[in-house]
Amino acid sequence: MYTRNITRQNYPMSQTPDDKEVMPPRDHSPFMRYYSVAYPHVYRYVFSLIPRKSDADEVMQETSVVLWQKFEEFQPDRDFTRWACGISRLVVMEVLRKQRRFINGFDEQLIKELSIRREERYELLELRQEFLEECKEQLDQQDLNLLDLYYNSQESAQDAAEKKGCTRRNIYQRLGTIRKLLFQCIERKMSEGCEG
Amino acid sequence: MSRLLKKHARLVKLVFQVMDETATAAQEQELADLIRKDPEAQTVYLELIDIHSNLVLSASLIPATSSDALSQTSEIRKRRKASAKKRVNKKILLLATTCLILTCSMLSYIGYRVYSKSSETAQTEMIAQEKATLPQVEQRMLEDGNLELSFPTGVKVLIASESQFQVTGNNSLSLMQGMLFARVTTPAGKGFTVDTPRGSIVDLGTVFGIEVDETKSAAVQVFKGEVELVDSAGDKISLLEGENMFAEASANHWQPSENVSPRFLTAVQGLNETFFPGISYLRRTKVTFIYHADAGELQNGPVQSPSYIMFSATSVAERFREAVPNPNHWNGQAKHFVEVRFNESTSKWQLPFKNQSIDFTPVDSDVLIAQAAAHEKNEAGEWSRRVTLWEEESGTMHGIRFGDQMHELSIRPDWFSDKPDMGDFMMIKNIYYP
Repeated sequence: MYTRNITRQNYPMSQTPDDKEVMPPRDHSPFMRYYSVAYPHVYRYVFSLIPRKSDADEVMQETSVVLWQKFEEFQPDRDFTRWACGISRLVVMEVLRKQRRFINGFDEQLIKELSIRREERYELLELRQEFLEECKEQLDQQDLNLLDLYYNSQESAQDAAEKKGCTRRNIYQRLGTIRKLLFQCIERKMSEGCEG
Repeated sequence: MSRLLKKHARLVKLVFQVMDETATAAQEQELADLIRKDPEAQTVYLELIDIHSNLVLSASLIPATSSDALSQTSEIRKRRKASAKKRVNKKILLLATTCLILTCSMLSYIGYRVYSKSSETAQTEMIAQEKATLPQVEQRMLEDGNLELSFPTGVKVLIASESQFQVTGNNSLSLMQGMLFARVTTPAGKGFTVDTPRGSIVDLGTVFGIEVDETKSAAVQVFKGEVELVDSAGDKISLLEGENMFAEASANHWQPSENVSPRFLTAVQGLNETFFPGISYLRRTKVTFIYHADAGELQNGPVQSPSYIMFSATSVAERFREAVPNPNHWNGQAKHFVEVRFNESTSKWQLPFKNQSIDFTPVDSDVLIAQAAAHEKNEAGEWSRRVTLWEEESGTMHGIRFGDQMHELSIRPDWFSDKPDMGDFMMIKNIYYP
């Protein structure tokens, strides 16, 4: 039987087998202390550049490896989260250049624009995140259940529709409505904060 | 609704579609175009995405809770709120542990993974050599990229990562998990069999794809030809071109599927050029195509007015059995698609049949998927019609829904011909089936 590799993903900044052979054992704990705090921020940052979960997860996995590899270069007086976000952007760009397979139209130029815009709004987005938790508390039980099904249990919209006895279209519509409610609630709290 | 949401209504809709992974390539492109160089649009996009990523993140950080757990009283919710800060700390602790484990695991297998990538070809070639003498080879896990296997019978199989598979014979394969596409074009390849945890798929001369997910549920999509599904009880069922079926992990029989997974569709699109050479494929952005009329179609003269292509959940032959008693009339035509017109003077929907028009009453599941213009003659004297698919618009037209009702309409004219001129359709997401 004849076999052939027709495509192969080349991960950015991957190690070579030789790298592994020479890698000395290292203490993970300092890295993990920084990374555990930075992780949610980096994830949200990556997600804003690649708004598809499977792709964002993959980039995060790669970013974790690269951050670990580069951690010795990190200066403790720097902001680890911003450093990690910078690295993750390089990973995004490298994967994009090699694979060209993220969201259509999300090219290097647009990702740069989004990255700059997000950095400008970093503090505001952090504030909005705090309000999001409060706004979730204001949702009614049915909406919370749907969020739980869709996000926590990671059920597909089809599964959620079957459980709820409705159509998938209803599920997407309701999810859209919930997101809009959360958005409006956050906006309201932001403007109240400004007035206060 | 807030001013921003109103102003950017289209953007909001597209962002939600991308979040839910239901956006077409054209819709993704439209989203990119809307936010490019528009600071306000970028801000709305970032804020919406941030809500979504926070929801995704909170789900991935805390162990999944059941609906029941969430269905507690508001009093408990208040308590949760009071302890929110503590929960965040717990989440971070959990995350740290998870990351540590993940990182250690990753580092421990990176060497192997890279090694196996660099020598994958050699390994698979070795499989080929082994196959000559060994009746069975060990299970393989494809972690990255795609792998094409050419069997001695001429069958070509493309396995996508991450898949666990095993070559079990000269014309057979087991797929324990993952995704594969098989193309069987030779007489020797007929009977090519793929075993899955839910049963076997026996090829009868075709192109088909199989996906087995983590729960061991299996789905089969036939792109061309016919396959035979055998469930674990040994019962057989035929699956024809354009159809898909699935078998849940908890069930032992195959049943019609309403959908194929977005991952599967993405793979199909990505593999089109490499694995399905010569197959005409209209990209999603290209929603208008020219339908060249043949002599048979023009025997009643060219169509003078626009008509519509309607999807009927009931097969067309069955639905119009009384009006068109001869079932052979529908031979060679799409089973669930029919050309219809609306008669403005009588306000009735009509089915053109020979030189007549038969009135019919629409039903809820009907969807108009495309509009076909009147016949046009080009300079060479050839007749054609311009057909436009509604992928971006939706609404109701004289009582029939039209366009992309679920944001998932995905129709390809003439998928498997050399050029898009046959006028046939395949709805790869059978979402309109009741």
